[in-house]
Amino acid sequence: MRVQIITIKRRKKGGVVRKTSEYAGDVVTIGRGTDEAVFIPDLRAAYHHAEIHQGKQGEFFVQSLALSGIRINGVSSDQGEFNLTDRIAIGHWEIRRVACEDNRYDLTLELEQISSDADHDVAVKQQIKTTLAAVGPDKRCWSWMLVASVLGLFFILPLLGKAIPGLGNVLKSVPGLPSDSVWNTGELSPAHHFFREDCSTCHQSAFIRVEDQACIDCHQNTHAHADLKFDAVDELNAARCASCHEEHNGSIGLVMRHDSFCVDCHRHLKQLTNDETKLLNASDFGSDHPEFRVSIPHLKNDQVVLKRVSLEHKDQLKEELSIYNSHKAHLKPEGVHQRFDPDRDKLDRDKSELPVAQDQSSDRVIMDCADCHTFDRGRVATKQINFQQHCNACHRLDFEPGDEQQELPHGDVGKVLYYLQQFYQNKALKGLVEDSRAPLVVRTRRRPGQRLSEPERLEALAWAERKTRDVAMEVFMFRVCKTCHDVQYASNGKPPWTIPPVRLPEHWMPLAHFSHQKHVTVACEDCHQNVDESEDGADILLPSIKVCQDCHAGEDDRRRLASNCVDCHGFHVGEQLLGEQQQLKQQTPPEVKQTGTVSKIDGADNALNNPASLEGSE
Amino acid sequence: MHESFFRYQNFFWLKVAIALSAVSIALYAWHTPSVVANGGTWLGYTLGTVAAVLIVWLAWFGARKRDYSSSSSKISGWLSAHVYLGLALIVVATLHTGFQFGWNVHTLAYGLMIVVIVSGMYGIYLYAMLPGRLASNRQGMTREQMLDEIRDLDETALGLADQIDSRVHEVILRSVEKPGVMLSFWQQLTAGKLGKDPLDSAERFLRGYQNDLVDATLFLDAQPQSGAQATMMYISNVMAGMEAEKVDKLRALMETVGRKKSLLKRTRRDVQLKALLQLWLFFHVPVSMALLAALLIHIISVFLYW
Repeated sequence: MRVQIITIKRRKKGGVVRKTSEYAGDVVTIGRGTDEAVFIPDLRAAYHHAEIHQGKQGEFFVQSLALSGIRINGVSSDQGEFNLTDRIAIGHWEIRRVACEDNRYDLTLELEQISSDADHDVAVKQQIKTTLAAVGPDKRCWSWMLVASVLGLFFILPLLGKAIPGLGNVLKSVPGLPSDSVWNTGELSPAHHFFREDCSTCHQSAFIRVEDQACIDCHQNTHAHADLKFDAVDELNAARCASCHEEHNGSIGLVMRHDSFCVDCHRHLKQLTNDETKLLNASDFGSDHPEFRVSIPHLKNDQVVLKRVSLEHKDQLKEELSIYNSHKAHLKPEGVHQRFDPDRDKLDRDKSELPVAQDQSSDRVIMDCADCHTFDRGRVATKQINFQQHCNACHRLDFEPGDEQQELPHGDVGKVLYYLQQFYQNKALKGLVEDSRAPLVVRTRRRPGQRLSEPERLEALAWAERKTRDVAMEVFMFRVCKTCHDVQYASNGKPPWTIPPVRLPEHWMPLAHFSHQKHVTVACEDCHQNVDESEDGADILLPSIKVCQDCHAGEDDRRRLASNCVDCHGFHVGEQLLGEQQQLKQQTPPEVKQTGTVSKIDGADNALNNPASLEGSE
Repeated sequence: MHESFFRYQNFFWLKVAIALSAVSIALYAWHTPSVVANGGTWLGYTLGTVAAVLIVWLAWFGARKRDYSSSSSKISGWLSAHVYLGLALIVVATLHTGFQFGWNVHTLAYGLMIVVIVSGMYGIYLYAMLPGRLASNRQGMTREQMLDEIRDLDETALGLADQIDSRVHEVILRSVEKPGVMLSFWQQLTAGKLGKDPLDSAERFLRGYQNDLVDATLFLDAQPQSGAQATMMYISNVMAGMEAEKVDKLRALMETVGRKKSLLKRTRRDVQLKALLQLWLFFHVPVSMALLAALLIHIISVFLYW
């Protein structure tokens, strides 16, 4: 092939000198050797540095023969195609392939020195000054990528899932995808776990705190705290369900136990409500809590109402039981007879004492509290005293001497009379009654198949009627019933005997709850003091708050058991339900609310679960 | 440099940071939350607000630092505040969480904040440790001077190699053409070499070449036994004389290559130390931007689902 080599030299003052030479051969050699086709006078070139060959289709290839290689179009390599306008650099020199202007040549090359040693230095230094920032990832780009990822994954995607329910369901159902649960600030309480994936159950409006209605939607039958008229109390008005019930704290926090929320109002509730409330101020169980007030069933206009009496007012602390009972008599240290005998154990009501019989027979038993006061299964409340269960073992209702199998029914005067009538009529008609005062027909033995004549029958029944009345008078007024009950007699009454109902309270303090179970390690008499000294069954033997305060104190106390308001008191003790109250609020304009007409103020009735109303005594 | 911001105005910002932490801890200890300590109590909101303002302010430092119109002492003061208040942020933000953590965007923001602060601590460590190493490595030279000297050594080596042999020249040329200082991200950090170092192979080649030459000059001191042998020896002596000249040049070349090699090593180390001074910023800055995004989501989502 024939090659045209144009050496270009640029003058400093401007202008270009082009020197053309020719070469003919199979291979175009390039190097520092003087016999090379393309001579490069540069120490950075080898004597025989590279060669240009022609391929079969007329294309050209360049190949480096030196270890240092060549740069084709700025890229270091050992060999490559050499096309039109390609540049080969060796040392400071450049060989360019240009278009052939003359048909005689197969290849035209331009040769030019493009840099000097000084230029090279500058170039190398520029490369070497490379900082980490120049070769590393761009911090700005890297930052934006991270910001976009965080925003996209943790905000935009969950938000889209909220807006588009289909997408939201996918996000929630596929583990690892970010739904709006990534905004969850903490585990829900166990009671709310079943709608943990559906934030909008509670968070119904964006940027608005969870509204009470969201809670009431499910908790309609929960009682409100107080009557609507106390909405005028700012603190109560401002209180939300979530003020006490803080969610997203796992299992520890659904109920606020801290006193401050109660005490904010209750430390000066009297003043807050302009003395409308019957509740007393309280701020700390250990140091600022009123004496307990017991609710005593009380007959008023033939209606049983509850009368609240403070344990301080000892003179008023009497039950209206209509029953005789003496703790002292039952709790004698030497015991009582297992079978009460009215003749032997003469009742001396003035002394309110059951004397122990003189004989030292072994039927005596030493009683303790649990013989009469038993608990429900959870040992939370004492069971009501029940005659059959607690009294009957000792107090037999027998009426016929020598026939102890016979016992009167308990609890109904009419049934007692009917039982007596049936018993004595039967006896009279059967005959052979051992009673010298009875008519003959009653005393005689009947022969088999013998029938009484009509006059005999009437005489026998008349005796039975007299006997029934006599025995009834005896058991009601002197012996059996009268042992415990305050029996009233009116000769014109039908029946003449009436026994007022025994009014045992179900809860002594219906606005508080107390568990005997939690106090089983304490002996009964440690709290219920001097019970064995009480001779009057109407005595109320409940411990004063001071007894409780021996062990319990306010929540900040470090020496005694720190006790919160909610340890004894419920919050949702109002008469109305939350759902009802919410409806009333929506129906009633705010100004009317403040002068509401509901008169029962402290929701005690509801807590009592008793139709009787509650009367405050203070 | 590090001392100046550590001790800026008699540790003023350190005192501020300690006071802020102490007040936060004292409030946290004194406060009795209604249910449990978390970001939703009044103290939680307060600490959260302080922490959020601190984060935004600390991030602002990045922009503030580029404002070269302010004096260097001002920059030093800002850096001092940035460092100490950044450390105090650990206390304030941790107390804000009430130690409640979970797999959610809130803990993500906290985690990113910790990454930013820890990378910042690493940055402080580097600023305290590296400048001394950098100076001892440079041995009083500037980077410019080191590169100039490498270039001089290259020229010398090429000149010597050309006088020895074209093979030697080629080997040296290759080592010169591939400077070995222009390094990638990873190479900068490890001061590593990309593949085989042509300088090493050049050195190896030169050693082998030298051994061959020394063998050739062994004839120089031998005595001729016959005329023919004397003629042979004369010729080989002339040749050996030429070879001996080459041996000297080769020795000089090898020394040059050796000097270049050690200088190159120091230059690479220089690049590495400089790179390490910048590396932590590749975490510190982008992660702090991600933190700002997570913080924004944290605040919005808390009030979105209030």
